[in-house]
Amino acid sequence: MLIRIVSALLFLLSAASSVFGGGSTSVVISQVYGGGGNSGATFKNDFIELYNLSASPVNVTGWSVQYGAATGTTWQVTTLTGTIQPGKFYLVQEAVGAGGTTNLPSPDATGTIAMSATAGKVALVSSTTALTVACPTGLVDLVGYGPTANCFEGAAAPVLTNTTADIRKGGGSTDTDSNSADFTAGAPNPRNTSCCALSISTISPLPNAIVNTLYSQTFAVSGASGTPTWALASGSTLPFDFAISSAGVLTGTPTSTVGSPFIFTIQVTDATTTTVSALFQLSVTAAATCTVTHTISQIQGSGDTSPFVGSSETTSGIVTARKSNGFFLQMPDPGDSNPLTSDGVFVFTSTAPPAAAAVGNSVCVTGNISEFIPSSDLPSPSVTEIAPTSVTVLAANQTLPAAVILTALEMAPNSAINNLEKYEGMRVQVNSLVVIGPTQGTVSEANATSASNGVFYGVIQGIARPFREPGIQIPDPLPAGSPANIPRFDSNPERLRVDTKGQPGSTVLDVTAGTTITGLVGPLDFGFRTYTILTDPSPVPTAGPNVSFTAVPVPLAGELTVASFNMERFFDTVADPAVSDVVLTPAAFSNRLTKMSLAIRNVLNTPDIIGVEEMENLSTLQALAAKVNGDAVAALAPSPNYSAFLFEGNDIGGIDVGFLVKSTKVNVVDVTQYGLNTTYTDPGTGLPAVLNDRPPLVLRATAASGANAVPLPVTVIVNHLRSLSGVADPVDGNRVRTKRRAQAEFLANLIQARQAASPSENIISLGDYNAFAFNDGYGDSIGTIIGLPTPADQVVLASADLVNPNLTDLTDTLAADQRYSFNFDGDAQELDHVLVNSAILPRFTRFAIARLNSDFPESFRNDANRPERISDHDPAVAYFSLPTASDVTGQVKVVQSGLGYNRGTRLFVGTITITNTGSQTIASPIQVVLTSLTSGVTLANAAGSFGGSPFVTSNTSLAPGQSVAVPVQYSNPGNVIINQVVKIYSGVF
Amino acid sequence: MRKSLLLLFCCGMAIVASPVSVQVNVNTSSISGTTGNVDFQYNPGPGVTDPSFITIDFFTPGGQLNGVRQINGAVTGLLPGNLRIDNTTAFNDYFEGFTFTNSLSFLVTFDGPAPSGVATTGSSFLFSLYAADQVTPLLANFPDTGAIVVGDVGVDGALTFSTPEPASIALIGLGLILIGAKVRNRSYGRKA
Repeated sequence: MLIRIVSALLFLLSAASSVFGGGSTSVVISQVYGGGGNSGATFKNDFIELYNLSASPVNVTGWSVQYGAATGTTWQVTTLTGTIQPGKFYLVQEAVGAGGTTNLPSPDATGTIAMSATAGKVALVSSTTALTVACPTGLVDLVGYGPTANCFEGAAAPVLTNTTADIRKGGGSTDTDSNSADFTAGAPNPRNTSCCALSISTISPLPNAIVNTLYSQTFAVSGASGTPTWALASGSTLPFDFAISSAGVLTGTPTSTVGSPFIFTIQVTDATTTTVSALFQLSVTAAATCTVTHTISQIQGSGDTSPFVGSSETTSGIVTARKSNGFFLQMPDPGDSNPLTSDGVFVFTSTAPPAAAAVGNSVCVTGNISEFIPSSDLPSPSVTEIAPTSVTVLAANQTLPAAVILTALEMAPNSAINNLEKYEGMRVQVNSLVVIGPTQGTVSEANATSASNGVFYGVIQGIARPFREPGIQIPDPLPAGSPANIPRFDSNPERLRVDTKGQPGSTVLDVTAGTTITGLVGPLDFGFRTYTILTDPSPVPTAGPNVSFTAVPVPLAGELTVASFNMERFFDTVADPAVSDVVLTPAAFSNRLTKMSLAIRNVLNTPDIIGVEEMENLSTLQALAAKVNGDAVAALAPSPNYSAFLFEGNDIGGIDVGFLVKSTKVNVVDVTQYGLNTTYTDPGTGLPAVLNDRPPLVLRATAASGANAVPLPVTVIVNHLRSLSGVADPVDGNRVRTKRRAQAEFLANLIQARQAASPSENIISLGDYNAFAFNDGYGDSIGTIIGLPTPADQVVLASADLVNPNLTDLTDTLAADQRYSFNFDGDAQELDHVLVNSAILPRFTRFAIARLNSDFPESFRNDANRPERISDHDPAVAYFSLPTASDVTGQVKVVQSGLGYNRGTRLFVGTITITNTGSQTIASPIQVVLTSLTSGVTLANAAGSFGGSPFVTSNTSLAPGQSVAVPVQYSNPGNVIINQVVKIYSGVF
Repeated sequence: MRKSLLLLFCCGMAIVASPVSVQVNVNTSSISGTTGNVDFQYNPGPGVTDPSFITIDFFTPGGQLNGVRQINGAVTGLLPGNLRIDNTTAFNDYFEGFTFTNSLSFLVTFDGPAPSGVATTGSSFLFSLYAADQVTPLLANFPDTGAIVVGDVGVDGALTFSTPEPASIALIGLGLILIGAKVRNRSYGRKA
């Protein structure tokens, strides 16, 4: 009864208490700290701090703060006295500890409660009666802190340490009834009732203003309750167009120095309506002058390099854009009106450019002129730069020079690598650009994610997509001793690099190749041997819709599909100390498996044989096989029952080649690794060195179109040859080139040996050859492997013709605009090939390269639920017709005629008569295969060869009892008795 | 105008039952006066053949043999006398230079033992004429072989003898019985 009366009285007195959960409208707990006096603490005592967030004083006499352990039901009480003014704090000191160095400010109340330094409960109660339950109600305010606290508003405030307190946000005023949202952990900051008088902390005199330059000064205040409001004091005036905002920002542009210095009074009022004011002095100084030694266009000159390299020059211009390490400076319109000299230049500051270099400022720059070439790419063309020793503002808010609109004519494919030198550093514009290389990014292999860097490549609309072309790239020098007729690749000067992240505040675009972008404006930089637009923050370019993947055709029932897929460093979650592998997180590994399964099933249409490159080990490939098999069943499709084959090779990075074989259709004979221990002579050391980092793997298998059809034997060789990295290196390049040629010749000899031993062997050699379909000037790996080596006068390292009959590169069967599997800085190029020999070429039906990787931005790597960008290479699928023929020899009678000799044709001529002795009609065509034909005798009228044996075809069906006589003609120069075993098939081989 | 091919099937006439003879007349008027070659051959097919042979009798040249011969394999005798050609090697051939007149004729007789039942191939008799270059067939009825007449002996010993013009044939079996209603004694010139 007594308690009820006291509570009623207090309610009348304060009219401010609220029940727990309703949120206090008067006094709240604004800070709790239990680490006082503990090891590492600054303050000697624990404390509880209160804050009056109302507009009225609150008398807390007869109130208490109470503390309960995190899960406790008993509470310790500290009694309060006195009044808290609006916007003011109230400090309750609690138990002292042995540690700490600093006393609290004078407390307004004192207790001896030893609070937990990590988790506990603090209540503000409008009485002094100890609470008795774990989570009491009817409180003024409550804070539960630390994850073990079992009572709180909403959710517990952050866990504490000896050096952190939970501090209510908003200077004590934030109260959303969620301890976790309202409090943040930070260094203890005890405040008492006398804390924090309102005062202006900005000091007079203010920084000087400059004539004709926008001035801006933000005033600061301390001790304010709530949000302070700024104003010019009554009776005071500001010069020129100066004004102060309610947020305390003084801005204006002086037009002269007359009247300087100016004196005025600024005032600030806080939430308690307390107002303070202060007197300020502002001086205006004349604008800086700039004694220009040469204009920007004179510094740029009309050539590729500045005529003032090494000279210290002073010039002026308008800042058009800022980068992280410099800014672009350009003469105001109309510039020098000389179309051959650029009016813009890059000022290289190394670190963030100074504030004076704000966009729109006219500045005076003094500094040394240089031509910058990246140390990592010494043959690169250079960029003219100024390294400033001073940057002085001349005027602000200047109109930027108009952007030059780039045209397809001046960026034509037959233009020179310096085609935009005349615009270097100037603002340029592209009205419509077609993306030729997708947005790049920084890959985190361990997490299987990528962060976009905003950089992509494009061509002005109307220009065809550029491809890598034969020859050594301009401007790379030819190696010493090069022959006379090496072709040169012009570097595709039609390419434009776009950096949507180069300027702070720009909108990053993640785009696919083929997307059209309009309204690109920004300064013309130069990087990675390519002219580069750094897009302005505004206006934001408009990007058309991104494209999705393009799947390969669904195979026909009678087709065998053989694919090559560089899976891009497909590592597992286990560290292998023998190699420098990447260890994926379980989530990253799972995501890669999911993406790859989507790619194999939905984009490649589950090929019968997949030659795999860049796979860490057999268990990882088996995991992929299991994933695909399982996903197929889950998607209500038949399981391909992929089996995995992989042999470890020599790669120090731990990647190997292998096979996934669809065991429902393909019967594996054997898988053999070749050249594991083969060496070549390193031309640098003269010593033997490992030749095959990823030795070729040869799969022999048979595939049949149906249960009774004759199987087709095939031999598939999967390869991953050495990369082009370092091929142009002036020091190591010869070793790289020598090794590349040796690998190509090793593979050529491997294939030729098989062809020679068995001309009918159906050989498919596929993989990432890291070589173009043509001579790159240093070597011609593909030409060597297919038996069409480049003549010695056109290549640094030539090969002999090692392969006969020649192979066919199936890439050559595609339309020209589809001959790519990779994108290097906007140059579409074919590094992956499927090569077939003449034995299987008649069975080749079609070839397709799936589009899911090289045209797609790195950001797509992050989405496990889409197949795109699982790798940097596009996989390819070759299609071959399988025999439909079945053996019907047991259903026929075969009779051969005598042979007449034709002296004109020098052939022995006769017939083989087939009679259907069965009860079923034998379908057309009927194939007559002459196996085990006597050595030295050949079938002159053979329609083809099956299993190494010649055959003739009769396009007729045979009803039961019906016969057909099939003509045969033999070349038998030895006039020997001919022996053969005749086999009869129905259907197509 | 080329005449349609006339085939004669000696159905049921097996040489093992009794030798079978065929009289062959060839109209050579279109090449009369030129010099070329006559060619007789009797060869087995691939694999296993039952032994058999032919004889050439009553060679009536109507022209002039010149004695320049190429003889291969199992050939005995010389024209204009009788020839015997066995099928024991792959290429059994009698080839001799000859100056043509308006016609020539001969009797070919097929003979051999009973079929073994294991033979996989028969044997073929061919008669051809070649030009002086020895490689260009003359008056050929069968483009593949260049032959004028062909006689095939099957694995069952049955003879299939066939020719269109310009030759004519007469099958002579027991008592000179002619088999086949389409056989006519014709002797007329080849028309181009």
